[in-house]
Amino acid sequence: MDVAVRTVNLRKTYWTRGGRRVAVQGLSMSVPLGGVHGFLGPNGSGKTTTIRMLLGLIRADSGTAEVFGSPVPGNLPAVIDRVGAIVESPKFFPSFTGRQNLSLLASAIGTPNARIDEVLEATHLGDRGRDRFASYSLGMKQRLAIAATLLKDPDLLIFDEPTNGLDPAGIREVRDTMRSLGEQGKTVLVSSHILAEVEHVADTVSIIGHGALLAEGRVSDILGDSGSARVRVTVASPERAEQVLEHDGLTVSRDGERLVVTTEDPAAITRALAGHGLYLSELTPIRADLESVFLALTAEEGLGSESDRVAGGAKEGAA
Amino acid sequence: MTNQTMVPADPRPRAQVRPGGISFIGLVGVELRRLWWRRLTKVAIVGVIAFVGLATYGVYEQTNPEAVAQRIDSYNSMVAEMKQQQQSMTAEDKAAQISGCRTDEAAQKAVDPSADFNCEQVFGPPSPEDFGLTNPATDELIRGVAQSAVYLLGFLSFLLAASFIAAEFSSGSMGNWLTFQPRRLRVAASKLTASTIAGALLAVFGLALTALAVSGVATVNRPDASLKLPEALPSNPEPLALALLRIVAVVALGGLGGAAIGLIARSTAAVVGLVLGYGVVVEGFIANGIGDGRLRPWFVSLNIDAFVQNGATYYVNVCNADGCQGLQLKNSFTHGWVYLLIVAVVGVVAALAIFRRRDVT
Repeated sequence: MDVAVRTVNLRKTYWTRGGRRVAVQGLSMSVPLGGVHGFLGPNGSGKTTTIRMLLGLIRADSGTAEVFGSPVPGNLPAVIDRVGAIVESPKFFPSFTGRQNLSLLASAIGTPNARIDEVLEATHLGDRGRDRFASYSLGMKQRLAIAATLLKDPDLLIFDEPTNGLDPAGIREVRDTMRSLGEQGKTVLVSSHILAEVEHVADTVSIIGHGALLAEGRVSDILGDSGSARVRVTVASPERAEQVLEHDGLTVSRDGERLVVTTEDPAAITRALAGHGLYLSELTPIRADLESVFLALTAEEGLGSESDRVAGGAKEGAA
Repeated sequence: MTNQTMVPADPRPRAQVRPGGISFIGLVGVELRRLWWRRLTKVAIVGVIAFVGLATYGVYEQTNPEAVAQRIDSYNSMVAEMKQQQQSMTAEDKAAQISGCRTDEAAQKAVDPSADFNCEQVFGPPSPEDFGLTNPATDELIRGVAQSAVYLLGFLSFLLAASFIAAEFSSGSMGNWLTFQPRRLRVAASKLTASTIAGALLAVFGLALTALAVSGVATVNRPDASLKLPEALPSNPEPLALALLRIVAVVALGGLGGAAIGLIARSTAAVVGLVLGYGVVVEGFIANGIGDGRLRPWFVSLNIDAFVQNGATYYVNVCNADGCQGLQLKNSFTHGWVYLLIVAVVGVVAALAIFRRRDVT
């Protein structure tokens, strides 16, 4: 598999007033070339630190990282013009206009001014380019940051929590942008603690917790690997239905007046209940999502805690 | 927002899209452009204009015909008063004064063999030059204003550069910048160079404005030839241009120093605090308080003076059984420039090393 980004045993420790804090501990991950790759984990799990190490902004204590096959930060200058990145919130000079900020960055890489107009138009900032950055809304700031990354026409785009603070329309814009870039063959590495958000756009994901990799692969594979399928069952007499299903060897739990049954063969439920004169009013497969996968993974690793809880709700698919 | 408009592909050939960055000079040019766009730069320019305006007014007040006429009156009154005093003094009094003068002269000669207090002339009339009764030499007027502007220009240059760098850290733009220009030493060097150039330009602007304004005032206030005032003797034998060049160099060095400290401290407030702390504690208390002032040649301000003024004098307090006496010592031009050069090199090396190693968050 061709990879855009690879890290091996990456480790970073911060020294704070409270003592030593390991932000990234032996992280080994790969981001395939092309498409959208979600980099997921709760706040404080080491996502931003990892991204900063990839961009040469902070130094790893140990381990290696590669971008397009070039070791970074050593060979970063060789590949930096293929990488566009937004790390955390958009950061520009507040007293300069959006256009001035882009102009400085464009000059730094020898990009002509015409490209500035293009990316401003493309991010719908064409008519606000001459306004000061400080006067922009959060969504506009985020769009300007995206415009800055597009100045290079990069092959790898790194977005760190790109939807933080955005309204639903803004979130959708950013999501569409990422999807569009991925479809153009570019590699988009997007970090987020909102798993449901990334699930919609990512082709592949790396899930980390406490600075270590928990799972990695295609989203469909990770969801498929998340254990036996579960089905939600609604029936007139749940107590009796529970006895019948358990008698047939199925694992059953109660969810209020409904039952949650673990089985690879939902037809077995209808057969068993119908055989005892019990008829279903609902049979809904409970689709695994990244959040449940993440929670399961952190529980397995003993990492689960209240602070590790990730945003996003459980989703159910219709039967 | 549609996908099609969201991400336009760059239509240029790939080789043009990624030309491998820009040259170092180009990078310095970008930094200078950012410096020029900053509001603080405009404030500094206004500050320089205001200072030159005030200083020029001072020159006008000093050289206008009414002020000269007043000084002639004062001079004549002083000469008359001294004559009266001398007539009332006894021969013993006069001898005692001359003897005191010679004692002071001998003490000074111990550290400066060329010292000459002109003790024989202590009862002679004051010279017209002592009362500023000379035809104002334009070069001398410009030199005086320019040298009085050194610290203001230097501080402005220092502050501009320090905040220029610190703003990048406080706004977070430095991280952004490094994702476009990841070679840290190159980035730091371009910022240091731009700050130095900006300091030099600020000095050239201030000094050119000074020269223009003071020349104008001197021409307007040229005393009437009938007054027959003596020509002013130059306070410094070196050409004015050389003196101004040194001021430009010191102000440029201020920019370099500000940028270097900005790279290390990463905060304008911290830099200003450091400078004020240094000024008050080190230059104010330590330099003057320890060793009766003998340590002053090892601190910044006296070396700036020595460099700018082609040598600078300072005073130390020497005490013995007969009491305490102030002695005048000289800090040489060579000492000044070597000191400043060493400080600049150490500061730049430290800034580059720290910026290269430290995380940018």
